[in-house]
Amino acid sequence: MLNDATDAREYVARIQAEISQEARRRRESDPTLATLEREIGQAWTRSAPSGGAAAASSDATAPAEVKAHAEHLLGCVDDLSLIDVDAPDGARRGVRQVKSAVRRLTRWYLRYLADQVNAFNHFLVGFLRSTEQRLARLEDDAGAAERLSAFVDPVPEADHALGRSVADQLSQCSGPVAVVSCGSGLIVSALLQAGIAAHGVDDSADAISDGVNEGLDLRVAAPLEHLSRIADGSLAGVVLTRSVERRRPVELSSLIDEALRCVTPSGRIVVAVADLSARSGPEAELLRGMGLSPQTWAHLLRRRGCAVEVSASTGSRVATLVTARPQ
Amino acid sequence: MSDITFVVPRYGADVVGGAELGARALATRLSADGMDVSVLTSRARSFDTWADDYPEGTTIEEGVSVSRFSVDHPRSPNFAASCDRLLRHPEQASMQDAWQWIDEQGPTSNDLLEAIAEVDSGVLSLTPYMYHPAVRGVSLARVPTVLHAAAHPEPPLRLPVFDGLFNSVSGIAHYSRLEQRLVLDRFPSTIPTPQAVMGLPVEAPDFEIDPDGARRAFGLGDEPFAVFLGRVLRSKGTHELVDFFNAARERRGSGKLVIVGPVVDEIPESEGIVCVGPVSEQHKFGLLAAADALINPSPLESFSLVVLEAWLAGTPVLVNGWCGPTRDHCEQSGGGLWYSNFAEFEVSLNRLLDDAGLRSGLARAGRAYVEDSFSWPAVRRRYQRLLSQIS
Repeated sequence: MLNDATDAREYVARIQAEISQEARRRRESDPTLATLEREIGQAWTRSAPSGGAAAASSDATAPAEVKAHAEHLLGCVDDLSLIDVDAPDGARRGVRQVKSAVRRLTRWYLRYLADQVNAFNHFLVGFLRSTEQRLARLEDDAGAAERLSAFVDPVPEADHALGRSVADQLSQCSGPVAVVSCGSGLIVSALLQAGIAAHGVDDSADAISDGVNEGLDLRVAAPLEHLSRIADGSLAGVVLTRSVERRRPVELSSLIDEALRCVTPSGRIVVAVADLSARSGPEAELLRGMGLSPQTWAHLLRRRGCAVEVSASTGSRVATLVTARPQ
Repeated sequence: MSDITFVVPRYGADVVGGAELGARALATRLSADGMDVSVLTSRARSFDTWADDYPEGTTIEEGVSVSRFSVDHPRSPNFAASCDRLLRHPEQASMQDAWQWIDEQGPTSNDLLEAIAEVDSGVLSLTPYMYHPAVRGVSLARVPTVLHAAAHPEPPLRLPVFDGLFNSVSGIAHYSRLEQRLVLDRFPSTIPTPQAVMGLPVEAPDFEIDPDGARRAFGLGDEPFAVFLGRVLRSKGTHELVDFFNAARERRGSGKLVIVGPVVDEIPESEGIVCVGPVSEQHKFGLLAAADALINPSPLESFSLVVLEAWLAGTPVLVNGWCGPTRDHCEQSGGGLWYSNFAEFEVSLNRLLDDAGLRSGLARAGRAYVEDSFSWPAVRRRYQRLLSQIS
């Protein structure tokens, strides 16, 4: 008996894994199945409509459109590679010597080429292996902080009071506002209630699902990537909150650059984060090097040439809001 | 003076098509809730020809004011050739060629465009993205517009002509979050545009579902069967399904596939396939309830009403794993299975046809998902929030 949606999702995932395993086993033990699959695939490729074939193909690695192009190409190659039936043969006078010389030259040239290619490949493989090892070490070092942060509770959702405080800061904005790390959308909802068009973005699909169900415009995306795809000056405001408390300064610097690029000259950037001093002992140690205090946010934004205002928030966890206006 | 005016290529109780059904579902429910709802559409029933099947003029249908306009010409005989030429590399098409494709695609009706330009109150709701009325009409709109794109990962979406449409509308209503991702990837300039992942209202019918009656009506006997419901179109994967089903049936020795819906592309006759054509709503739900599974083989869906209707009828579903929105429904609800190749199709089909416990567990989870997320109050709440942002 399934108790709730989570149980049902896990149940289907398990059944689906069993089906994939069974399908693999059958394919391995039953050679006719592989032949049958190939025949069905070929029949489908032949009959698939123009344009729709690629999407309709059930073979993701080789869409039908690609296969069709490849088949056309192979046909062309076939046409070009017909044997010339009038090729000179060794029975003609002098031809035998010429052919022998051509063969020797060809052999020498191919061996020379092969040696060069082998040497280059050898170097390339060595270089790629050493690069991969260095990258793995770097990723390991860089990821150590993130791994530790998994032992800390997630950043709590914004409360209604914080939503209203943020909306007050953006009340002069006419135009869309993006809320970075929106969670279930309380800040987005507060902005909409204040008559400000807003959408939210969060990297967790689970975090936004309740808000999406309520009709809030919340989207799943990495914050930096989301902002980087927005055209210059097309937002009236950007709100940075929640997960920005768990990002390293170098990422936050990029986030500020992108936010400044996205907002209009009269736009606003609002940073709603808790003070670092509010972290508990374990949080402070496990999140070392992550997040910035509101004062440091204000400093960074001033250094970027913004007029910055630091104001009190009525939110229970976030006591201070930093509001920046590009100048 | 309508609160909302839907612009849709075809409209009517007997029109088959996802976006058209979606528009009608919204229009009739909004009207029943007291909104003043209008529809501007062509007289066509079939998108193959755009022939003027319905009478011209305005009628009231289920509380909705429906105005139908004659098309200026039937679908161009060059259209198939245009598709072949243009859709191989749609992103390389010139604007001129792309506009010509839209005009050939139709339904082209100057009277319909004039009617769009005359709407001076409420919101214009355009659907789907790919047809002449939406693409040509958006620039004539004098009121805020919301686009129900019904976009799939299909070649026409890459034509340059659609940038203007997506960038001009005041808001976008998506059928699924995967459709939203597709649109945002293709048109990143729409990121600041107000949007909602709205879905469509799906509710159990108000009549008693009669599975035994449906079995009798179509002579299906007691043999287990799966059902396909929709237009029989190559691009919707029907022919691949027939091939898969025939091969699986030959190996398992039993089972039928009942194909319900208008046949656009003929399918070859075979022993296990029963093609019943279009049926009434009563028989549709009867067949859904009687079936051991609904199979939706389409790789191109933006929502798939029929998958959700199957859950309401107490039937699990099997969908094409390459279709994001239908697979997402199954993953989110735990109400269905998906296949990515013949071997998986065969194993899934066998399990669904042979395991009653699995069928009832899946169907129950699917029904809970539909009732939670796609009841009319839930969809209306999302739609009204979007409309309030743009109007």
